[in-house]
Amino acid sequence: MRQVAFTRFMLVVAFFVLWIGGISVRLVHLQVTQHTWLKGKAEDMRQDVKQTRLLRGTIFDRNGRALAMSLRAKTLYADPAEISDIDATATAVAKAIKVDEKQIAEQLRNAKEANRRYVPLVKRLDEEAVQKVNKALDIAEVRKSDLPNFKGLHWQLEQKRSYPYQSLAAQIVGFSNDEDEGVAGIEQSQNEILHGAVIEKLQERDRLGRVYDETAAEREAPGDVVLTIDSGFQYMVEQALEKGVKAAAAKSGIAIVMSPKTGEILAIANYPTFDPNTISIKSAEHISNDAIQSVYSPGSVFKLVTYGSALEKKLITPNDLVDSGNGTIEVAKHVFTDSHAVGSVSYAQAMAHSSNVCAIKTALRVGREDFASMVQKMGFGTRTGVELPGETPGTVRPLAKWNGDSLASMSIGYEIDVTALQMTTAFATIANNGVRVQPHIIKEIRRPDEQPKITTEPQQKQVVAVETARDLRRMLKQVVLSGTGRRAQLNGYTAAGKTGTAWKFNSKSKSVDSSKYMSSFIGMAPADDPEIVVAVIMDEPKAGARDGGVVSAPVFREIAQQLLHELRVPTDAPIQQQLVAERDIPETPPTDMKTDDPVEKKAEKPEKSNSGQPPPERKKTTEPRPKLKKGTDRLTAIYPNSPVAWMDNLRLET
Amino acid sequence: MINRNEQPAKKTATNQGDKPRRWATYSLMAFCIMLLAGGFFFAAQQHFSSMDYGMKNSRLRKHIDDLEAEKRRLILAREISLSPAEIKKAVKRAGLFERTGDDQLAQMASTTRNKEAPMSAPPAKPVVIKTASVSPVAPAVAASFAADIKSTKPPKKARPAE
Repeated sequence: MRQVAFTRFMLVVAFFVLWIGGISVRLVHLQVTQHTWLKGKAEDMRQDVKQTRLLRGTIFDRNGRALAMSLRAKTLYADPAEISDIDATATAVAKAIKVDEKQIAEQLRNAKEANRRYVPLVKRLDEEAVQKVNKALDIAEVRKSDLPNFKGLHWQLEQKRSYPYQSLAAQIVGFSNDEDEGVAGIEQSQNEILHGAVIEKLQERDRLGRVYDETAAEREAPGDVVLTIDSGFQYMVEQALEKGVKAAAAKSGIAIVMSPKTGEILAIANYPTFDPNTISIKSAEHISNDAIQSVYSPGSVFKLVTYGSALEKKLITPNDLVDSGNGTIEVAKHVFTDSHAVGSVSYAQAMAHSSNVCAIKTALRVGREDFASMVQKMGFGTRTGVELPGETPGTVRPLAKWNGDSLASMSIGYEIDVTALQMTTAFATIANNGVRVQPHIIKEIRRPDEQPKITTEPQQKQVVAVETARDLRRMLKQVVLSGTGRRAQLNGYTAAGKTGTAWKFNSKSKSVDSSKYMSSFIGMAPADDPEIVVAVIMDEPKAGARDGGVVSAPVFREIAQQLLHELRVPTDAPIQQQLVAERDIPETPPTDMKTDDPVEKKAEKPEKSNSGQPPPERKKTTEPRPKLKKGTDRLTAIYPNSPVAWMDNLRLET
Repeated sequence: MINRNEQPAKKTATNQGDKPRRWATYSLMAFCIMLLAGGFFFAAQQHFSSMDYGMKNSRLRKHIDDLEAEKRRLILAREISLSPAEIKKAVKRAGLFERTGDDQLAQMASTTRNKEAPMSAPPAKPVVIKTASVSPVAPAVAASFAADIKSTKPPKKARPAE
């Protein structure tokens, strides 16, 4: 009996041993052998890695106005693996986002067959649109942790770049593409600072998908860029340039405003322009910033360098006389002519009337080496270093490659290609008493949670002597007072500057094209202590006269007058309550229009220099000035077909 | 087989002392079991609390992100409303007209007198100026902004320069 009981007992024990042993083996198998696999599976179910790109940095103007900023946006995408009824999904989605139902259904089917888990349906919606879509796609029976409450549909976080001022300073700001990479302008040149890094967030979720733990990798947030541009000034400049280009029926125009003392660029305008919010193939051709990316032959504005080099070498003074003879000069079998003979005049008058012969004679006195040295010192042939992409250095031939007439050609602004910014910087150097300040467009770069980082101090270099700069300014003042730049005269301020009208080079025929001009005026105001330098360049003006003094000088006037007022610069000249248009050059028909150089002009006696006083009033002509018709829009009346007639209608009322 | 002659065990002193020891053992065992169980309950409570806080944290973080996004949206809306294109539209809607260059030039030339701050930029202003919202915001967001938004008084008219 005892034996039987013992046997039964042992059988039960054996059963339990086997049972527990089996469980133990299984436990060991799960927790040791399959430990890694099970752990990974559990983590997969629990953890979720989300990649988020930090918002791209903002571009501000000097007053804190956001010229470019990014907002959070969302892209609706479908995961076909989670969708059981494709047609129903396509119907609902098509209704919510107003697209073609069949197209959506086809996309989802193709993706499902190809085992793709991501099908974007609509990209970059703002929060308002997202809420509407969520509401339209809300299915009460579906229980999901994320929105929309529709099986198989999810939102992906993205960002959308917005340019609130649209075309304002478009070529400066540039734009970025879908991959958050800058493509043009500051967006491109400062892409490393603005670019938002991708950060990974490790999220732990419960069985309902609710996040209860989140770890994000530390990454440096993108910085913001503050420009020297003033959006108010930029707008004024763009408006004035657009008006001038349309009045002259020019192909395009450039305007630059710079502070000569600090090198800060206050405005760069290009017309035509584009809206970075809506870039199309048509607008893409206006993306380039011609102020730094295009070169042109400067023409007579380059006489600044010619007379500057002579003054620097103390070969001349503004009051010394120079004889232009009969208005022609031959250099290396190349004959250069003046548009009108000026005879024996002072250097100041020679510059005022833009005599080519006088400039060439001056350059010949200076000599090739010294002239080339001055060209190089003024910054031509090298990039200015402005913080914009794609800047071209221009073309300055090395001295060894100069021809016999190169010195003569270069002294009047040919055989050299410059950018508008290079010319403006040269004038700014003279305005700043011979100190060349490197032009710059970035005021500071801001990093989050840090003090604003100020950009490095711009380089400054004494290029010409203070006396040279002062004498040159006197000569440039004469251009405005009594020379070709009279239409640049300001009310309440003195101005100094130089006109330029150059034939364009035709690359096909390899010669200059006398039917196409680059008409420019670059000036500074007030003349004795300039606060701003303004450059206006018109490409191929067609309507009426094409001189820089007629086409570009009025634009300079409009820009400078407004900006000096905004900057609260004290007046340094009498204010005329009723401004009467000065007839600087007798109006002639387009076939016989006066130009700076080298087109023939009617002979005109040069006026005596006035040493700072406004030119005396001319005698009134017998013909009455045309009056405005009743109901005529003043804006239209100011710029009718011919820009010349603008001056006839100019009246200021108190 | 049962031995009928066996006498039942007498209650010895040893037997009497075993009983309290047994109760002490049982009570100690019960205490340890309760301690263990309590520990389990405490751990479970901590675990679920941490999960709960984690979820609340996540919701708050999301709320902060939403508020940041709303703030940026408002800044953008403000900048758009200050852009020249929008101002022109508003001017047209209000039935106003654009001043011509002549009038502007006359007024500018006659009012410039004193030199004030030079070309250097004014002190950097905060990006977000606390003022009334530019456009209506969602009610949930508006409530959270209520503490921050202060109504601004209309600016004093600048004394006209002579």
